Amino acid sequence: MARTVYKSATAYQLSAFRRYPGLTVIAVVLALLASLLTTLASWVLGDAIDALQFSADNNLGMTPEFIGYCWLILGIALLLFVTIIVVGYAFAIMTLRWERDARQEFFEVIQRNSMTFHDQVDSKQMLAVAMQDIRWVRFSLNPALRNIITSIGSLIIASVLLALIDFQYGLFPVLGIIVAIGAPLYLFLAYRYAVAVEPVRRTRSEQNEKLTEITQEVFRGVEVVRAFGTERFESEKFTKVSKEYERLMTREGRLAAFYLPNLVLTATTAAAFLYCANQVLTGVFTVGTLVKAMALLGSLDAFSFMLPRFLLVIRGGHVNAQRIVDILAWKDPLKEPSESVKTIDWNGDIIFENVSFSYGSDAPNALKKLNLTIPAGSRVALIGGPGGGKSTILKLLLRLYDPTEGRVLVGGVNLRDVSTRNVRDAVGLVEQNIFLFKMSVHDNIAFGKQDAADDEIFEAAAKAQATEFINELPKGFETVIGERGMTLSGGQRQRLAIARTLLQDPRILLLDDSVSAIDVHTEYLLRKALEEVMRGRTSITVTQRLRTLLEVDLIIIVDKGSIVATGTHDQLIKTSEHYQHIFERLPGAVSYTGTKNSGGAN
Amino acid sequence: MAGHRGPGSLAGVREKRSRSMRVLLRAMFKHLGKFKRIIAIAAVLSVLASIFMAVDPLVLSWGVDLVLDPSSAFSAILLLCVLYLVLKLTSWILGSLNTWILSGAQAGFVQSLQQSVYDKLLRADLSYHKAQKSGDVTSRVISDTDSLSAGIQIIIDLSSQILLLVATFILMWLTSPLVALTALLVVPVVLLIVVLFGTVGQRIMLATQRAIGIVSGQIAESLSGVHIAKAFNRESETAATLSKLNQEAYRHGFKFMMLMTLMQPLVRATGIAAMSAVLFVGGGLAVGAASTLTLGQVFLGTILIQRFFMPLLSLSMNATQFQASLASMDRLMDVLETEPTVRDALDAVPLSENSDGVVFRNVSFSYLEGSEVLRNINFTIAPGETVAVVGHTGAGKTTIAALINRFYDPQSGQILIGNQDMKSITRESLHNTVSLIAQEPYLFNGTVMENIRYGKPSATDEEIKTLSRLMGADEYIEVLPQGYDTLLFEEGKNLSAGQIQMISIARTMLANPRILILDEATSRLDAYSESLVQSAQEKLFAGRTTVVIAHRLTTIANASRILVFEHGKLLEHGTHTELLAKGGRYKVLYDTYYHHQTAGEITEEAVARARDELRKIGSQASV
Ligand SMILES: Nc1ncnc2c1ncn2[C@@H]1O[C@H](COP(=O)(O)OP(=O)(O)OP(=O)(O)O)[C@@H](O)[C@H]1O
Ligand SMILES: Nc1ncnc2c1ncn2[C@@H]1O[C@H](COP(=O)(O)OP(=O)(O)O)[C@@H](O)[C@H]1O
Ligand SMILES: [Mg+2]
Ligand SMILES: [Mg+2]
Repeated sequence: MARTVYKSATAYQLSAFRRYPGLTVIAVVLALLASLLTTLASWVLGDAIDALQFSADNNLGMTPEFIGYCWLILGIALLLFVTIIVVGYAFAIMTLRWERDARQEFFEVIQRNSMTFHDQVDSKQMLAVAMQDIRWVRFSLNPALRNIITSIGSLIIASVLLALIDFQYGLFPVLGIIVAIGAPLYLFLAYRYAVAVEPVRRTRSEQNEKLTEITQEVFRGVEVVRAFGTERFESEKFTKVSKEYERLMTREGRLAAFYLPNLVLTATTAAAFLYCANQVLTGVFTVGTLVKAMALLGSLDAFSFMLPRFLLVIRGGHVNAQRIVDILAWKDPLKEPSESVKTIDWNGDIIFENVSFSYGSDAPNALKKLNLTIPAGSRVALIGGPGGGKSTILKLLLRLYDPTEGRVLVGGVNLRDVSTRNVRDAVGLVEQNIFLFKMSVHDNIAFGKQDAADDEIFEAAAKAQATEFINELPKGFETVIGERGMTLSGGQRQRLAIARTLLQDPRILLLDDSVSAIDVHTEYLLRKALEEVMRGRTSITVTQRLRTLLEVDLIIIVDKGSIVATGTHDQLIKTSEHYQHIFERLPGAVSYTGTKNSGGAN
Repeated sequence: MAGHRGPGSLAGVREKRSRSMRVLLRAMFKHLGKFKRIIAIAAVLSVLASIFMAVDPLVLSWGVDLVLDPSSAFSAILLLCVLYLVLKLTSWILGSLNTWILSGAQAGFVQSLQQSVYDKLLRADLSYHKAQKSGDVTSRVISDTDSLSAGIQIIIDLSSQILLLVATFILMWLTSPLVALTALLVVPVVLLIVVLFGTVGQRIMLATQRAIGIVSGQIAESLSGVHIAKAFNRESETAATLSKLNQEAYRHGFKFMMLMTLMQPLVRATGIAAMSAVLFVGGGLAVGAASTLTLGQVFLGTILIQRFFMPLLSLSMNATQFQASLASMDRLMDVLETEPTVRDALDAVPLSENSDGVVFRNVSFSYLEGSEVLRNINFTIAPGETVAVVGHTGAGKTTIAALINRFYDPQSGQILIGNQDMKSITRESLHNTVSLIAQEPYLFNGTVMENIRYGKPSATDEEIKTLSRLMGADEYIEVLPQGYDTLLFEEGKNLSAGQIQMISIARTMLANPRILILDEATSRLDAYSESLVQSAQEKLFAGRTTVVIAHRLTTIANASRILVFEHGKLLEHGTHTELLAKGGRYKVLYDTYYHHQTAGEITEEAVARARDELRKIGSQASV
């Protein structure tokens, strides 16, 4: 799907109509017709009053014209009914479809953005944009724009009709002048109100977001609050934010008081009344004309407060649209190659050549000029201190990011020249912080491979040593995992994630501290199963377990983004002081070396 | 009164309220608290405003009659005009004053309600929080309070709307009973609208909300798991799933929108049609031999009909919103009226300075009735002792930690700190004395510095840095973009797992508790960093009561005694040597551990070599 580029927020807002030009024209014309009909009813009312005389023509005692006018008004009502429904239907089609597609488009675009994007943004905020912001843009089109068209249409048509009254009598257009002063003044004041309210409303809704955020945060971490007994502190923090929210809410509410446009309308009505009444007294106007004028002005009353409200929504929608357009325009540093290299020996050597990487432009390098060769088919252990760059190395191999500098080569091919799809088909990662979906155990494992057969899924679970505990779950493989997979223990989650990756049957397997919560016995069985699976393939394991270090073909020690040492256990224990330090402290090392661990378990 | 049931009840899908309307209304009134007076004033203003509003059409109609009489003077018209202006101005001022006063009162009311709900929830039982879906608690604090305030607004509007309605009807009746009766023609339309919205409308609305909720949940989930979708090349499937849900939401949304769209023309067309009817009836009365109406009155009728229709409509539409407000009040009362089961006793005393050590006496505990997680646990941890708790996952280790923190109260048995029963001391003093490093580290949004300081708000930057240095956390924090000032967000997703754990350890160590509990606190650290943390702990917490929970047996290296748990039972306890000698469960655990970790392929030779190398370093280090 080609990516639509929106030139501006307005273009984004209006893209709803661009797709249906014909329907748009019809809708707008009919919307104006609705305004005309509304005002016309007032006009006919005046004519009816003039026609209201005794007549012996029929047993009702009213002139046929009068009765005709009554019917006419009823007809107008019916026509109005139909018109507005058609307008509403047209707008609903255009804007709701737009909302649906805009939401889908937004999601697909940000989903396709590389992890660099997702690192920078708050996912809750993105959700809010996808749901609320897009809805507000839609509100700005329907009902806001739809109603604005009708309201302004009514205002203009009523003004013209009022001016027409003098014209009818061939008089100097006093009514026209009254309206010509009143209407713009009215619009101006309404607009000014909208402009004054907008920033307040925006800060208020930002403050509301903040309030939601701190509330969410505190209750997610309620155990921490409890453990440190910081209830009072948190309460005070909340008070500060909610008091500010109160202040803004008050301000916004108060701006609506003393709403001047209403006074303008009143003054205009009074002036028109005075003028018309005088004309009636002097015998120029009929009384129907007076009624006509009053009814026209009265019909505007209904729009009076709606107008600024909708103006506000339109302006607000524009701000939201801007935010969305900006997000959609994000430039991804990770580019797909125009043509992906097809023949790659995934079993070849993995080479990091002068690789530097940073997670963001202002972040320091997580990897610094890294040079590394992993021979084909070897089993590798990656160890090192917190934040050393182990997970980062694995993520680069999955091409979740591209190196900022240098190259990552597999079988002699630069990963940049391979599409992410191909890379991720061949490379499998079990991530450090396991994420499981709110789906059944079965579906979670099945996520690893498209159209996986049930047998394959059971097999993967068995290899991951997960079958036993899955069968003990209330509904076995059909058990749905709760929010963020919280109802499973850490070790259980890790095993499901391993099953998911095994199902994928990757050529290169990356395990990021994936057995840390699995008990030693299960881990032993798991290791045996993995050996089987990974025979002849390259695997890299981040681990804290001694046994793994002893078994692998290559140990790589990273610290603060640089390689400290590489080699086998036998080599490193001789040559690397760093490794000696680590090894000495590894669980189990003590009993075999006889050196006393700090403290000692006795 | 039919209105009592409201349109929602017709739909049969309304959320069930657990309290009667009377109880809820009384509670609403009670919670108005200090805002009662000001809201009463606002209500009076609003009533006054609507009185003035009700009569201004009268002036216009007098005007029409006046001009029909050729003997009228212009000054009379001028007078009417002024009267009209005064009436309008007065109702404008009164209405504005009402808005002005009410805005403040309403915002204040919302704030005070939010605060009390928030405070209540902060102190609610952890079991309550565990049972809540994420987002539910937040909507109690944010949306329900807001909806309640809308309910208050409705109650205030109610009086003025009823007044306007009644006044208008009386005016119409005085003008002409027949006109007034004609006006009643709109009642069926209003009923139609109410029923339509109450039944079909409610249902469509709920279905729409549900469908949108599902879309939102799907997007939320897909965004949190976006790295997984990428890793497994499943983006297009995820998009397709969303597309289906999105289409579903559109379908419902479209129906709802059409219903809303139907409402507007119905209202406007009815208004105009009613005007035509009144005109016709009024016209009939105005002409003819026994002319009972003036032209002005006919005109009045056409204005009044609008004034009658609108309040009637909004009054009935408000009923739906009001039901929603009552439901919110109901949910809020659930929160506000529940007393936490874990709370300070009335005569609770602060933990005394020299109470130390932990005693479990016949403690049994279950999270959910029927499945005991801890069974009759007895142990004593002497003041200053370091004790390890080991066992498989699910053995109940974390539960022990939770009980010592009094997150829950055991169903039976007693827990003592020193010789004070935990239930007799204030929780504040308990939490100042006991600190926990939790298994799942949770960091707040904010800088690294702020997060560590959470353990001790008065700590200076220097103090925090010194501690971090001692723990070996310093160098891992300094590599972050802004060092200690790096902003963490979304639970620290911009940090490595080990860094998060380091910060959470530093936070607790800073609190400097008398009793320290570590629940798998170093599981995400490599052996070297773990050893740094351990030696920091030794230095800082030497001689303090410490409980170390771990399944990695080296983590418990410093413990003097070991408690072995299995399936919620304390199987054995003693020193490492004692337990090994005993040959029980611990020995099995220990043996499997070392068996699977090292045995087999390591030759004696390799061991000897390693030992030699390590000796060398050892001697170097000690120089
Ligand atoms: N998503 C991210 N955004 C910004 N910085 C990050 C992100 N992930 C990691 N970092 C930073 O990059 C550096 C390397 O992190 P990495 O996760 O690779 O460490 P690690 O070796 O896996 O550590 P651990 O053993 O704690 O898991 C750290 O300084 C970390 O703070
Ligand atoms: N909040 C909870 N609600 C219900 N059951 C729980 C809760 N937390 C833990 N459990 C259950 O209690 C038992 C003990 O869990 P836990 O104390 O976390 O064990 P450990 O820390 O030893 O792994 C397990 O069976 C677990 O499923
Ligand atoms: Mg990592
Ligand atoms: Mg635990």
